Amino acid sequence: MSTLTIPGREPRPGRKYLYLQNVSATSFRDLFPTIALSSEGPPPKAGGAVNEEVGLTIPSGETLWAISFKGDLEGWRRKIIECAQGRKLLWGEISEEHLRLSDGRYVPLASCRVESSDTQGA
Amino acid sequence: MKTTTRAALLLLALLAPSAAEASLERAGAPRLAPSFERTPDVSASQPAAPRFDLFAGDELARAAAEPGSAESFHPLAAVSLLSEDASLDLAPRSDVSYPKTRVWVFDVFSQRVVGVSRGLSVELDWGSASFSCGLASDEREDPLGLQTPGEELDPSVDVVQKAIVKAAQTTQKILANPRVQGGFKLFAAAAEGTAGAFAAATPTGVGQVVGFGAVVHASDVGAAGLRQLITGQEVRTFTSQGLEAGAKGLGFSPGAARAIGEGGDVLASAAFTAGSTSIARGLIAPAARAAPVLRSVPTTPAVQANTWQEYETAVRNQYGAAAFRQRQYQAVVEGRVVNGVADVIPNANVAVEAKFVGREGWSNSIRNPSSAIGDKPFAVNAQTEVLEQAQRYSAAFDRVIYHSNDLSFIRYYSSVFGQAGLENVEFVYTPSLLH
Repeated sequence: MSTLTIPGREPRPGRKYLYLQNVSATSFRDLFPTIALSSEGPPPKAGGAVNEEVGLTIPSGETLWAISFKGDLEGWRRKIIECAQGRKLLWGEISEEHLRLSDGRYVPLASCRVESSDTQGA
Repeated sequence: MKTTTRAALLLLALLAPSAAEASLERAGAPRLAPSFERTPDVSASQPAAPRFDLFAGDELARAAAEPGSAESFHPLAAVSLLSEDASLDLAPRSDVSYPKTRVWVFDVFSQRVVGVSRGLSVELDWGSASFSCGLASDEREDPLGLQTPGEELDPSVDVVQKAIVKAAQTTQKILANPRVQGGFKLFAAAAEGTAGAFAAATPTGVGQVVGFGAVVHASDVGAAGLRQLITGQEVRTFTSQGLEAGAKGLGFSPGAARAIGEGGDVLASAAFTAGSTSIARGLIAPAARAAPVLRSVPTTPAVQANTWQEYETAVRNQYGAAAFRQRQYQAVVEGRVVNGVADVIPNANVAVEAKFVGREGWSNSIRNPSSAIGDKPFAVNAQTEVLEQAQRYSAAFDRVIYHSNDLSFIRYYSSVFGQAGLENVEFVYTPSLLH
């Protein structure tokens, strides 16, 4: 397993993490700005979400990208899940050293490949 | 009333900084050397029978009020009696002895006071120990120190009330001392001068006038207070003397003129202090609410920069450029979802922004609404964008750090951000050395 920091593995006060499936970092950057606007439900009331630019590739090959959010935690969680469901994408969250996936799978983090798509600040 | 006065004395006693504590065995220690005739020898194997009601409150005072009984009471007697009384359904304890009575001796307003804490609660769990006080003295005939020369001690007088009266008289003497009053003057002058200095620092004409007046008057009061403190003689302020002279000139009698002088001086202090405080608070309070930053602006070493690009790079280098990453974010600002990209210290969720004020200076900056171009539409847009960017960063990230090379920029926008409720935004002053 990589030594990269896995977002959401360590809790941060006031901030939650979800993982959203996509095929590549590039396409995820296209997907990310649409999350809060991607369904008919109301947008979050406050706070924001950050593309953490970190992906977890599970043993079956799918890659899910980390999103952190703060403020209206329920609102942001709902929008990310709606985004996934609308596009028939997997989503997941970290729980006790596992990635709990929306299809019911429970994947040990130790079995995931961690990748970063960091773009250095210019 | 008794309870109230005792409670007051007890409170004073608890607050007394010079309180000393001694166990019963140590009560006669040389340091304080009071006599404790009311407390019998603890080594006595058979405690004397109690001659007064138990748990009625201040047994020590009652003992004082009962002629001939002063030496007969010891709380151990109560303990023994209760432990033998089967009707109280208390299991007698074999360890009932009396090593636990504690006696405190302390000074209150120069009066030596002795407090006795009974140890009943130690032996009997349900019992509530109480506490009583009396004045301590080395005089065998007057163990509570209440008797003045030539006067017989009236045993019916409540010792605590007498102690309170003595303490009050002592306090009056202290307060009437010119040196003490000089100290009060100095204290009042410090308060007035501080409030005046804050008011004078405000950018309003009224604030500066009132603040300056307060500082001048505080100097007068402070100088008089200091001289009085040193000499022990009453020293009047120039303000008071001037007002008195003016009143005499207007035809007031000497007594009335002096009253006007002294009263006017006090009124001036009150008015200057209150006015300055109000003015200062009027400006400081919103600024304090507004500014998560301005109470102290952290400063980093200066950087070489002529342009905002050079400045941004230099700021980034102070962190170590590799520490930065760009992050997409979505944020909700005033109900709208907005997208953006920020320079972020990952893992810490800190967004960092550099704001450079160029050679034109803050007075001509497009971001300064008070500049010559500050009200132009493009300038207003630039000013609005500074706030909106901060709102986006504040919503999306845990912390936001703004570096600027201009303290006026920091002062102005820290207030703006604060008024917008951005509590997680900080400013750092990073000067630029233009080359």
